[in-house]
Amino acid sequence: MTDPNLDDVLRRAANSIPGPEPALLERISGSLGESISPVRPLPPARSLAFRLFLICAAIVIAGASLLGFGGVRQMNPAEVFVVFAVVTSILWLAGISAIRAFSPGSAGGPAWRASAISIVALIALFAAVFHNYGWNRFLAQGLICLVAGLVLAAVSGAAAAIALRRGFAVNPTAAGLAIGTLGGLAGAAMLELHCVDFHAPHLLVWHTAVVLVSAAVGAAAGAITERRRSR
Amino acid sequence: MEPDSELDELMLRYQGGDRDAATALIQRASPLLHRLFRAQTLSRESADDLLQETWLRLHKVRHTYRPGERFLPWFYAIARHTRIDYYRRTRRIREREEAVDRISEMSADAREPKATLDLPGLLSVLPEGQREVVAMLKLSEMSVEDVARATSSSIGSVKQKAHRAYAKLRTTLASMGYRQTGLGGRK
Repeated sequence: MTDPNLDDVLRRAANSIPGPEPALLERISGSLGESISPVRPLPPARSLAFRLFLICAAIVIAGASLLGFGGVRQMNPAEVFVVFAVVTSILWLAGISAIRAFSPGSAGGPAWRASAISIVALIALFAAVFHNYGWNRFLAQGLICLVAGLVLAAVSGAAAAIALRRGFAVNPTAAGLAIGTLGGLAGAAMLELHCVDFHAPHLLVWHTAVVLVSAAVGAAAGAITERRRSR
Repeated sequence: MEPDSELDELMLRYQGGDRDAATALIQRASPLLHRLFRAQTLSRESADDLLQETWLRLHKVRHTYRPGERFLPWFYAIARHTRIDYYRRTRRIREREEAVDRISEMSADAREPKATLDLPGLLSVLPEGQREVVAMLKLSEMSVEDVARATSSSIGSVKQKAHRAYAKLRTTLASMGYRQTGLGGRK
């Protein structure tokens, strides 16, 4: 049986299914009738993305202002350019992904793809730019960075969720993943401004862990929301 | 099936508070959605409930439709979400049991292809994801891109599911006695 034959079989079978009763459609129209009023549509995606980016950037700079800009001061100009060009790009990408997660029927594929690209890009960035493979104070310094990064990730994620509150997440788990990734990248960006530990293992493990943990927490929060909504 | 631009226009007017546009949109889009639900839920009662619930939900989030974007992917994304929630809450297990019973009946009647094929029963041989893709592509005549948007997946994933679903459906129809002559035919 060829595809056109199968298409024909399916189409004929579908046409034999009776449609909804007119009374049902009238009931639906009637139930909405009184509450139909003009609503303000969501802003264009790019406008929202710019807004999200500014919010995250402001939080990142505020966080680095509190903790100090030691990290960026110790980088050479080439490192500053490359690191912040990549971090800015993946922060923008994560913002777009978060907006799509709150816009039903958006293009762009599954949210996990943008999260995966962001994390891989971060790992590749650290591996390419930083080549000191020492392990000085790996655990002690790492935990400090992880906590600082996650605190900023939580603030950024919450701010992003508030900025997107008018949206509707058809998949709350995916939306939580997207928000968590965005927050985590903001946390990692703050660490690049502040952290003076340029050992590759430290960056590859602890700075990346901020994004991974934040994304996982976001997805878990989304999954809990999804279960509650389904009850 | 109404041209997409007409549905887009009705949705814009509905967002603007036009009750007539809302009624027209319900009249025009509901049969498509109802058929999709029937193909997936196996029960008319469930499809009716889902249709109502979808429109209620859609009404609450109508502001999330962006002017200039296509109505159908947005519409089906919300409908899909409503269906998933509905299944989780209510009749999932019972309808699966019904689907298993229907497959048994279909196999037992394999020697006598029916004049009218039971579509929900046929599609119930497919896993959830494949069934959904076939229903959207073939019953609602959405494009692959639209289905990808509505299901928050990639175009490649949609094509892969469709390909696998068709292979499975061919096997099932062959076991029921349908050959290349199509509906009701035996080679």
